[in-house]
Amino acid sequence: MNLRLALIALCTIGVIAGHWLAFDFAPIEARMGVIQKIFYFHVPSAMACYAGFIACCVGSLAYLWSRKGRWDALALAGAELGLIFGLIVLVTGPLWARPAWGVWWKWEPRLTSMALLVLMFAAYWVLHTFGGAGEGVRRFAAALAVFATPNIYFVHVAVEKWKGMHPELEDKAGSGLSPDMRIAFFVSMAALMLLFALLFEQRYRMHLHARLVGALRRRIHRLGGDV
Amino acid sequence: MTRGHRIAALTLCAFGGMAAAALAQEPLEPVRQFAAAEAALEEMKYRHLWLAYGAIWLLLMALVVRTAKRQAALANDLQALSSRVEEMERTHD
Repeated sequence: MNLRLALIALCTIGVIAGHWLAFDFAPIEARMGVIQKIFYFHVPSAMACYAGFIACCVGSLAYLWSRKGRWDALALAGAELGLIFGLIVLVTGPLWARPAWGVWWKWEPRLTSMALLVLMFAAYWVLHTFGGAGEGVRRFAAALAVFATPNIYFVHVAVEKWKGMHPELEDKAGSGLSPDMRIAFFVSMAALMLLFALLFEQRYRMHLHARLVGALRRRIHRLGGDV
Repeated sequence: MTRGHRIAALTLCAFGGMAAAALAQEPLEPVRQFAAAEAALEEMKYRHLWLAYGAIWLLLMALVVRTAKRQAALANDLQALSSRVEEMERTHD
């Protein structure tokens, strides 16, 4: 059995275990009730979103430095997954906020900075995907990703710095998750990060192959053939 | 069985497992009937939560299947184009 299949199997088991632990094993939170269960999916999605955007930044920096297409493919794969997980965060957040705060959305620091972060990478993706095949567009998109990434820091410290309403995982007094909740949370986190890694590798390989197909088509065209 | 089929089968297994885990909730003891009724009411209140979970997993599954399909199509294209380039280069020489 190859490593990839083993990782897919591990991820599947992790996702099932994560759901069982979150919904059946972890206790129902006293103040928020069942709706708190979304936290086991919301927070790991946010981490996967950060990981995608950081991968996009690393790929973009390396692309600007080396001009090698494989780094651009890596950056694009990171941005796509960051966007998908970012959208999951922006959908699951309001689902929790409605019963907890009484409103779907509040313009508080964490939510606003997260929405801005996702919009910046959406701009990267739109530019990269629809901006044409020129290298100038790719360089511009890469620079945009490099400038958008530090916003992750502002999203992360928003609650502490600007005293928003968004709950924190642990407060300074040390209260937070009960041991059972902690197990469910870390299993969910590991499963979702593994899912992210598998999807990232799959998307990266797909973009690399797409570039190779493009290069071969251009070569056939140069040799006088129809493509 | 192609890689895409294997990935789709494993993802379906994940869905099956999640559904089984959700259905396999242990029955509550009689002394906790009142609490159980309250919990059931609360669960009904948060039906949209389960729907959202389902929709998100469907979205992720669609992404996996779509990427696998595109990847398979690209692998085919790559093979066909490589052999065509080789053939053209041979005739050029």
